Parts: sequence; C-alpha cells; structure tokens
Amino acid sequence: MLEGILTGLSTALSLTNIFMVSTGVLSGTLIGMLPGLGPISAIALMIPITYGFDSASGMILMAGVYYGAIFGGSTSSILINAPGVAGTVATAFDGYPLAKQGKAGKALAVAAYSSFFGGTIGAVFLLLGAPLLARFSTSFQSADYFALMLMGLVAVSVFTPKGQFLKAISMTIIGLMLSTVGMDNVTGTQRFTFGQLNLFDGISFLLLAMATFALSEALIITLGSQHDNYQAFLTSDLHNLKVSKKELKEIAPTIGRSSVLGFLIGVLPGAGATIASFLAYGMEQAFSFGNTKVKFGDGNLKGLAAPETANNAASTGSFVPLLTLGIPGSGTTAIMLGALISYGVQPGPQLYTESPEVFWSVIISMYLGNVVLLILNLPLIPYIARLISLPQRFLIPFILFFSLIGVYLVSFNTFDIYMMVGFATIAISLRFLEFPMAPMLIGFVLGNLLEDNLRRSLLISNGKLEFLWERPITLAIFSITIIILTFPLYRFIRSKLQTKNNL
Amino acid sequence: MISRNFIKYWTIRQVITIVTTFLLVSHYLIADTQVHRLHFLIPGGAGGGWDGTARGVGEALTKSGLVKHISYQNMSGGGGGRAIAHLVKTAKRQQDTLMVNSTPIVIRSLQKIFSHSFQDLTPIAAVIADYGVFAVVNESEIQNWQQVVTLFQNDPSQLTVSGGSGRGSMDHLVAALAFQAVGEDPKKVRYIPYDAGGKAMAGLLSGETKILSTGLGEALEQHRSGQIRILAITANERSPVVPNVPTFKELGYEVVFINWRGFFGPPDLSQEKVKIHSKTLKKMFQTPHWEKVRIRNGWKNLYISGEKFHNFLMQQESMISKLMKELGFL
Amino acid sequence: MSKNRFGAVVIFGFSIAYGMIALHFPVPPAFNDSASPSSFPISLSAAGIIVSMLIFLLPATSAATTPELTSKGILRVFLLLLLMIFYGFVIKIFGFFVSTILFLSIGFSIMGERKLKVIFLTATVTTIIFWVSLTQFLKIYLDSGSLSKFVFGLLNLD
Repeated sequence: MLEGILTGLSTALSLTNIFMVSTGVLSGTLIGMLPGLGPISAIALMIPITYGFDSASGMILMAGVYYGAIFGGSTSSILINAPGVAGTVATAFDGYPLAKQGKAGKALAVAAYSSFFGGTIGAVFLLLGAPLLARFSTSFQSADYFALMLMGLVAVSVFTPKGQFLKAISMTIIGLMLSTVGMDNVTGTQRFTFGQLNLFDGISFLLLAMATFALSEALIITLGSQHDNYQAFLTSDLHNLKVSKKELKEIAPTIGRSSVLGFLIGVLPGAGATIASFLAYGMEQAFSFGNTKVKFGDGNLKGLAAPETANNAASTGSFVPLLTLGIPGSGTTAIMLGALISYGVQPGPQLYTESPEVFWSVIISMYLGNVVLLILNLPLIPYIARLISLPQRFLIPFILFFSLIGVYLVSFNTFDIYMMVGFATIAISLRFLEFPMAPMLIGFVLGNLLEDNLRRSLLISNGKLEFLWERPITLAIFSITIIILTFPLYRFIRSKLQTKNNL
Repeated sequence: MISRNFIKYWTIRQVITIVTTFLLVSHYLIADTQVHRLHFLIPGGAGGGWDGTARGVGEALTKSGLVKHISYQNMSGGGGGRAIAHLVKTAKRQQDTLMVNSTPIVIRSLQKIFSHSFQDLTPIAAVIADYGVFAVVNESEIQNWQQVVTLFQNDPSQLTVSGGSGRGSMDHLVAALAFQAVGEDPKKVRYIPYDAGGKAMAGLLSGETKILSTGLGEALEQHRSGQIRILAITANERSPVVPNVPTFKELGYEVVFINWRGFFGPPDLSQEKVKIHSKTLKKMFQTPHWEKVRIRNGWKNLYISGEKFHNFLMQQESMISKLMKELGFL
Repeated sequence: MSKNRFGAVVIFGFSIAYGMIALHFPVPPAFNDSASPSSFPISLSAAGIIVSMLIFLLPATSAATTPELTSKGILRVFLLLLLMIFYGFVIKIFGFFVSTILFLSIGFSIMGERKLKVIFLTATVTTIIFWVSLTQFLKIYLDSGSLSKFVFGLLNLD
C-alpha cells in the first residue's frame, strides 16, 4: 500500500501535473461560480480538452476542476445566496447571513478550511478503509434510505426558532408537493404537468433554488433600498480572512463530527452529499442546543462549517462504491466514472486487486486537487469577496443576470425564465408573511428520494408495512429520528421549568 | 423617465444601427461559412448518455477531418420531447443538424409523450448498440436462465426483477419480453423500478431484489469482477466481451432486443442530404480516431443507415407496441 | 387578519387545489400496487390542510423580521420583474449577445445609474466577457436568435 501511495505521489508531483491541477482548480472555481454550471457540467465541458494529455495528467486536471467547481458553488451560495448545487443549500443558511454582515471573507475562508478538512479526513478514511467499507455501501436497502431521508427532513426543521415550527413544517410540505411535479418515476404517469411539455421533467432544483433564494433575496434588498448609491452588503470587514483561535476551537469538533458523518453517508450510493450536508447541519444544531451565542441561520460559524465539511467528505466517500464496486452513486460520480474510463481506468474491485498503483494514484490525484484548492484559493478570497462590494445599482442586475442565465444555460428554455419570475414573486410574498424559504427547498430536494424509496419499499414488501421495523438499520434510524423529534418538547418543558424557577 | 433619457441621447436610427451591427458581428462569429459543418442537437444535458455519444462521434469526425466544424447544442426537457419539437418546428434552417437519440424515442413516441413521433423525423443512421442482460448476485442460488423460468412458473410474485428506470421503460419492457417469450404472462413480472442504473445495481447487491434487468455496458464491470453473474443476453450472437454468456436464441427463446444510439435529421430532409450525412458517418467507422473513442467508451459498433434504419425502427416499434398493449400501457 | 393567518389561508387553499388535482390522475395499468401515483400527493395535501389549520388556530408568536419596504423599492422591483420577463422574450429573438446587453443596461438604469456611457460600457464589456468564455472556452452553443436567422435567411448569406 505504501509503495502504491508513493508511486501515486511521484507521478502526481511532476511540474506538468502541478500546472495541470492549478489550471483545473482555477477554471473549475470560475466555472462553478456560475450557478448553472456545477461539478457535473464543469467536468463534462473540460473532459474533451484533456483527451490529448496522458491519463495521469488528465485525471489530475479533472480532480482540480472537480474540487474547484465545488468550491465555486459554495462561493456563489455564500456571497449572493445562490446555491447552484443541492449540496450547497445548507451552506447558504449561515454563509449568506455572514456575508450580509460584512464577513464574506471570513465565511469563504471557513468554507475553504472546512472543505479542505472534510476532504482530507475523507481521503484518510478512503485510504484506510475503502475495501472494508464496500460491504457497508451495499448494506442499505430502500426502507433504510426512506428512513434516512425522513431523518434529514426532521433534523433540519425541528430546530427552527420559536413560533416558526409549524410554519417551517408547512413550507416543507409545500416543497415536497413541488417535488411531485413531472413524470412519476415509478409508473410514468404525468403529475401536475397540465399537458405542458416544459413541466414533464419536473421543476428543476436549480430553477427553484435560484428563484426562491437568489432572486427573492436580491429583490428584497431592492425593496428596502433608499439611495441609489446604497451598498447591499456591509463591506468594512470584507477582506478579513482571520478566523480567531477561539472560533477555530469552536468549529474544530464540528469539522470532526461532520466529516465522519458526511463520509459515511457519502459511501451509500443512494444518499450523497446533499442529505449529508442537511444531516450534519441538523446534528450541529442538536449538539449546540441551547447554548449558542449566534443563532443558527443568523451567521453561526458551526452552521457554515458543518455542511461544507460534510458535503466534501461525502463527495470523497462516494468514491468507495465507485472504486470498489464500480457503482456511481450520484450524477457527479457517474460523470467521474465516464471520465476515469476515458483515461483508461476501469473502477471496480479488480482495480484494487490487479492494479493497485492506479487505484492509489486516483485517490492521490483527487487529494492533490483538494490541497491545491486551499493553497490557490485562500489568497484569492479577498478578490472574490470584493465582488459584493459593487454598488447596489450594478450588483442587483448582475445577480439577476447570473441567476437567469445559469438556469437558461442548462435548459435553453425561456419558459424557465418566466417560471423563475413567478416563483420569485411568490417567494417574496411568502417572506413578507414571515414564512421561511429554506424548509421548502429542503423538502423539494428530499421529496423525490423520500417518495421513491417509500414506494419501492412498499412494492418489495407487497404493500405490507412491516418494512418499517423489520430491518435493524431502518429501526435504528427511525429511533434516532424520534429522539430528535423530542427536542422541541424538551425545549418547551425546560422553558416552562425556567419560568417557574424565576418566579 | 429612463426611456426619455434614452431617446434624448440615442436617436432611434443610432439604436437600430448598433443593434444590426451586433447582429452582424454575432452572426459572423457564430456561423461558420465552411460547407462541411454539422450541428449536433442533444436532447439531454451535458454529461448524459446522449451527450457522450454526440460528443464522441463529433470528436472522431473532426479529428479525422471528415467534418471541419461541429457545434453542440444541449436542449433537455420533456424527456427529449423539446428537442424533437424544436427540430420539427425549425426544420427549414436545420438542414445540417443531426439529433442524437436512442431506443427510448420509440417507446416515448408510442406513449404519446411527445407532441411528435420519431416517424416525423428523417432517420440517418444508428452508430452504436447495447444489449439487454439479466443478472443475479454471485451468491445467488440461481445458476442459469432456465432456473429463473422455473421459479417464475412456480410463483411469479416471489421473483423481483429490478431495473434502472420506471415502469414501461426499456429495462421493464426487456424483462416483459423475456418472460413473454417463455409463454408466461408478462403482466405478472414483479418489476421494481429505480431511478438510475447504478442504484438498481446497488439494490441487487444489497439483496433487495433477485434479478436485475439492465444494459450490458452497465453490468460488465461487476460481471467481470465476480460480484454478479450475467445469465443471458438479448443479442443475436454471443458478445466477445462476455463470451460465456448465452444468448436467448441459444436457449431457445426468440428474444432479441437492440438498444441502438443513432442520428436523425429534420423532417423531409432531401435524399441527397441524407446520403451525405450517412456516408460521413460510415466513413467515420474506418478511422483510427473513432476506434479510439469507441474503445474508450466501451461501445459496440452498429451501423444501419437510411431505408434499412427506417425499417429497423418500424420493426422495433411494432414489437414494442404489441408488448405495451399486452401490458396495458397503450 | 394577521400575517400568519393570511399565510395559513394561502397554504390551505394551495393544499386543497393540489389534492383535488391529485385525485384525478389517470390510473396506470394495474400491477397490484399498494401505492398509486396519487397516494403520496394526497397524503401531502392532507398534511398541508392540517398544518395550515393549526397555524390558523394556534396563537402566533412572531419571530422573523419583516423585510423593509420603500416606495422607490417597490417600483424598482416591479420594473425588474418585467425586465426579466422581457429578457426571456428577447433572448429568443435577438440571441444571447444583444439581449444581455439590453437586460444589463436597462437593469442598471432601473437601479438608478444615470451615466449612459457607464451603463453601456459595463453592460457591453460584461456581455463580451461572458460570451467569449461561454462560446469560445467552454464551447457552449448559444443560439443567435430567430431574428438574425430570419434576416440572414432573407439575404441568403447562409
């Protein structure tokens, strides 16, 4: 194994390859910042360029693009509340409030550190445990996935501020409802499409996220603006990347917990980075329950570090089923599989036994992408953060353009633009009625997975409900979910007791 | 207020001049005046199967010099229906446009999902093929297809068959076809749909389902590494990549199913154009550049063009239509 | 009526409408399903009805902060919404290049920028940067719009 790692390192560390990975990271970051172009499109668009290179260089370039695009996505999520990939939705929950308070530099730095450590810890697990974890990745069945998705929904919405609980639930339901639009995955029946071809594939995540997060936020800023030269964000502290020792101490355990959780969720081919980020966010809320200075959702550093760590650890974890079983768990790993095959690497158990040096060099390349990302992007952060110091009269049209063109570049359908305007208008109205948008998007993201796995479990069990408790994994996840559900009750009782004591 | 300012500074004529200048410039920057130029219309997003086929073929065509310039347009939506509608609507200016597509276009046309059918388009040529296979996990007690048939005959409800797409889609239809050929009721097949081939494979490995119906390309690696065993293949003859897997024909069942990928032109494309396009594609098969692309992607060549391609499609359509009627989908 | 209750009524109405549509899905061929395509939507609709009724009935505690409002802001947002619809409309006709310049220029003016030179230069430079990086580096195909195709079709330049 050591030998394999060393050969992997020596090929990776040639001058050409360092140049390759740097180019990849930079272009990936730039591409990923445009909301419509996530890691999937970034890699798809970059692969043809790499065909002329030898496979090691190609792979390393791709690793750079991959990590760059993920970081680019977090950047737009933090700076302008525009999560272009489902895995960065939770990043916006606390990242964007930080940017609004003028701490964009710090938020980006925390995101970069968290992704780096998430990726690092993930890579260590991958090196040590990949062959062993292969069994774990096929141990989950549909019923377990259903339980996991339910836990994800509950974990985030339970910890809403006082008085918001029911409203959060109602918005989650709306999100679930929106996820049912389009062709039914099981029977092929068209649901809520009204005969519209444009709705046949359902509402795209990107469209809904851009309309209800980025557009509605930009328009709400505009609603309140008094002066033409008004700046949308506080910009005094923009370039300050410093994370104090105290803050580091605070987020260190978060990073530790989230990377383990994220990695394990990522190993499951039916779960992935999105659910990992939500669960990590929920877990942090549970751990710091009742003793936070900054509320979650108002710019809590833990709330930013947790999802960023978890989604990167999960992306690394998804290499376990890819490399050991040859199974792509997500869209991103599917495109990686295609890319690896085109470099002459056929992922699967044979790779590990027959050509371990290739196995190790894939992992080393990916890890190198992670390292170079941190080294290159930290000095760039002040410049990236400066984007939001533009005067509002320029910034707002830019944000609108960014969001619209990001969606349009994926579908080239003007219907999508009209639909975005509609959703943005509804989102603004609901926000005035003090109904939160975040639970809606969580419901939407998890809706399809929830329904699919539930219906598949029912099909397999012949309509009997026993699948809910027959398997130990399902039962365990349900038990944890129930424990989480008791938190609001606990909070309620405690506040009652406190008022009693004060009397 | 804004418009008043605007008019004060810019007369209408100036505005028109600027707009037309931009139109001219952008047109010349986009349009290539080369005769040998093709435009590929891809009904799905970047990174999908259709996208890979179009860009792979495009790479071979341009690198070998058969075509000077190829542009790619991704137009997803409507399960591929938007691209078809677009091609039909703008047929006149799409004389050098080829749309990539595959077997699902036949199925979805039958289901009347599209506002048009593949029959409205001009078939150019199929280029690559994949075949349906049935697989079990390595530890399974099922050793061959005959045992599957016996199990099914005893109690079809005990035999779960999974696939990577919804009911009525290709994986399901191939399974229905296989059991129909045995003389059983295809409606009794207990099909369990997953939303991606990889997830269906994970489901099989987790022991959730007994048999997996999928494409050879998606099961090859797991078969080679001994995680799963492929029991039978829907090809005409044994595949050189899995020489020990019998075809259904050998087993005595008339089950042949080819999942092709190929290209279509706009409606009523002139015979002359059809010939040019299909010849270009034919020439591509002889180039080393194509061989490189093909091996890289693990594709299998299948060249059927023009009238033959049309007949092949009609034959596939009537087979699928008969099956879907029997299953109650039509 | 308080904001909470108004919102609850909206969600209640939406849930009812959603559930009504879900009741009338075409029935797919029977494969002994225990859950049909409408089962999940109908239970969501029921959940939506119950939760919105609870919000309506239970006493509300307002915790969120309502966004600010100015009359200038309202006008601008209205214009920006129209501008986005306009963008969707013109991008089909003029293509990416011209429509984006138009969109950004009008957007900057709506937001209060007065200097025409600044407006036009910023919009054009941004558009060119985007156009070049999308079409030349990433090789994304951008349609040149139906108008230019029509004009050039007439001139027979193709």
